[in-house]
Amino acid sequence: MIWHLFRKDVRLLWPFALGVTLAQALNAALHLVRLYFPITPSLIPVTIVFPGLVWLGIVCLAVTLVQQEPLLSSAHDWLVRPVKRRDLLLAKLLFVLLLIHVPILLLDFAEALLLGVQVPDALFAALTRAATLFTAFTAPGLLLGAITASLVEAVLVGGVFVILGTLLILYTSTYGPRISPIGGTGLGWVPGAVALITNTLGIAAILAFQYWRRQTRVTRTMVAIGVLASFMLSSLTFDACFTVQQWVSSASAKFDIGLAPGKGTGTPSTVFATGKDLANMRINFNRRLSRSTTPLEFPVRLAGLPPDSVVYADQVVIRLSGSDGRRLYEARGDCARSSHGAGNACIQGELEVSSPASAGYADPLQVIMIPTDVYEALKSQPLSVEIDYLLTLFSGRPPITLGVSEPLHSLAGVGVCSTRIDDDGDEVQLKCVSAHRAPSCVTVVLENPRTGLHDPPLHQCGHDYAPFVRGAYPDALQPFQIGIPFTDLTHTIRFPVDIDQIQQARIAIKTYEPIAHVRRKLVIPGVKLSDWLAPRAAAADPTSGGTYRIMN
Amino acid sequence: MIVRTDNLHLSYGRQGEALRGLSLEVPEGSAYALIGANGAGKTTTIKVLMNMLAPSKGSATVLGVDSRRISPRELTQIGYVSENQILPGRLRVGEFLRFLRPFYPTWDMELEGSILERLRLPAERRISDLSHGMRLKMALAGALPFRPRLLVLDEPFSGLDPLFRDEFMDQLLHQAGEMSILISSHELGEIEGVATHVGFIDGGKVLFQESMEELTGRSRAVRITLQRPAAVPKQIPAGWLQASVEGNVLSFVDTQFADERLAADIGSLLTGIRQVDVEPLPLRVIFTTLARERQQSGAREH
Repeated sequence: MIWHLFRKDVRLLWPFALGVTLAQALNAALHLVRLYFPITPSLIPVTIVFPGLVWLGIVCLAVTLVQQEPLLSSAHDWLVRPVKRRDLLLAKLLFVLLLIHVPILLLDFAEALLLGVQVPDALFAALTRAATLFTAFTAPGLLLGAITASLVEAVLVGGVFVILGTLLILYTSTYGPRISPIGGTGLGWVPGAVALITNTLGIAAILAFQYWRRQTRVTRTMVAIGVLASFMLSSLTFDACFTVQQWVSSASAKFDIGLAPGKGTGTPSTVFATGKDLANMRINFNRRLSRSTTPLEFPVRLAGLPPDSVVYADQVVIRLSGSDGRRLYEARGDCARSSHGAGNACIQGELEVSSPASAGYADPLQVIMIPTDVYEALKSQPLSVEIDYLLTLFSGRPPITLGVSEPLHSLAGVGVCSTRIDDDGDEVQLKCVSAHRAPSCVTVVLENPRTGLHDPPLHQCGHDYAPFVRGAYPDALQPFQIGIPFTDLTHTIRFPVDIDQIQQARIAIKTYEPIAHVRRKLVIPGVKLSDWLAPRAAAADPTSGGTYRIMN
Repeated sequence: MIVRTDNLHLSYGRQGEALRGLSLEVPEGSAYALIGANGAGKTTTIKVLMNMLAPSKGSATVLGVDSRRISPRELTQIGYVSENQILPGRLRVGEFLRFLRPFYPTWDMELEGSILERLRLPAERRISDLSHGMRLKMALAGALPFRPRLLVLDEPFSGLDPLFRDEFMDQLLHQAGEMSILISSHELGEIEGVATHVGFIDGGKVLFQESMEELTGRSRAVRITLQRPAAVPKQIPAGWLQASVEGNVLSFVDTQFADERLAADIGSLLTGIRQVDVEPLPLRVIFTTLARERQQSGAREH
């Protein structure tokens, strides 16, 4: 009977399903055009709106599909017909699979193939997006259809959820690190994936309950509890997310972390160590946002690093304990993804060190910014400093070169990329789409192979440790782009490879991929904080420090 | 019993109780008419029986199965037609019947054809384009071809013009055969000639139920003409209802009629009798008499 019920729905809803597929086809076409040709500004709103139309179409179709046999009704004919509820639900699932997701999957697959993505990669990306669309839109749409009496009611209820969700996203993006330390980090996919999996399981259970029992009041209560639980899942602890990440990646790394010999001369890496006053030092919490900090410097050595690797600290926890072992101060720095573009490394709570190709170690200078009043209270007593690191090891891939004005090329480990000199004529734009997630870190160098000259390297990181492409917008591929400047229109800076050499120049692209996630602990016993005061800070007025953000 | 309810309650929250301890029994093979005014609880009772609504208390069984556990197996033996039934409007008449066929192992194609012909249903018309009456016929056409063991009709004649009603009834009687019928109506005239049993529902309760034969057999209009001006005796039998006097004539409805008992009662209560006229009553009068009496006794108990 499943096939019989499915055919009836197809007979009634095929124009609607065709509309969703056409919207997706237009979306894919627009995206292709956008990659091949510079898009006119007037078309930009269309490219933004179309993916949203596809999502809306999927939700509305799922609602309409369920409401062909309304569950809230006590008057519809199907209720007195010998229709097995199991068959009905499976017929609905068959419909969404064959008439929504298979066409979109085929379009995503075709789009990726047209862009030159390899068949397995294109299929992986299309399947990933199909799964994302199902969990994020179709399944909630089916549930919405099962707990509302009409499409209008469903749109109103769905609208309320969208508004609440948007407000929550706006709030978390504005105050992200304060309420969700994971949101902007490489681990950000974990709560999202956990929420999607639990949502889907929850929706399956609630849908089954509503189909079999038709107890709408109970079902709506279950939905409300589920939504609340879903929001709470987004506040998973950093430690829990890191454990999930370790379990997913399962690779290990053998490098160690310890104090470097001497005072250290490496790159400074700063942690704003703001946290809990455990020694009752009466820190004025109301003044936290504008309180001054004092920098302490610890020379650190990461030994046993694989060649051509990068280590990045996702979280640094600092604990200060007295000689009796009593903990006096604890603080945490979470490293969020940088949004500062090319040339800027992650700027907050960072420890990002690059291992030289042969040395096997790196000596960064770990700078810890602690509140000045904490420093003043503890500076003269013997302390034990514990630093807990949650670290990610990145491995570099061999560099790939590309001309400065190239059509789409498939580049291993990067994606399908094209280059062009921008309309201002001052930078080369590198645009790529990837069937997997975009590279976590990219270093690009503009070089002239004839002269051997090269411009300063640009290093861009957008840490994302997800094992799959995240999101369903605007299609199955993950886009990223970098602008590489080669001339300064104000003539203030002169680049070694400048506008005169640009036609002979090429771009060397080096990508780094996360390969292992590890925990390391550095314990420095018998420390007097005043001995480790940063030299510049020691000479400066201790109250003149900068502002910082609360990390807990 | 093909349908039985016991102390059925159903509450619509703030709107109050729609059913208040409703008990009824529909014998197998009968045509049971559930009669009551609009809002009495007829449709709610039927929706509970069909598991469209869940009772808050009490129990209901249909074909021997708890109404809350009616499965597709039972539904293959139940036909249902309701004035409020919402059919899939975007399907055409023929498509709808083709869609229904595979669900019923006993679906009779020949019967379907003859029903369509009798009811003059246009196979190519969309259901949403049909008039109210035609839609009721459509519902009937979808409820009969599988020869249901139980046919449930909820106000099937509501809003039908007499011509349609007669056609509908013809088809129903033509098809009745061995099946049991539960029919709800607020029009007594509609069920006369169809119903073998009748139940009167008011305020979410069945006030009385019995076979039509018994009901009409035990109800008589009695006129007693006396030699002098009459008066209603102080103590009259419980079955004498609506007793009234006009000159020398005492009239009442005997709801427990039996020749010998009536003669004995009259003999013991009255003297100077000139003439006794006993006549059968139309169903409408029996109903209104009984209903009024039950309502009054209910109010007194309250």
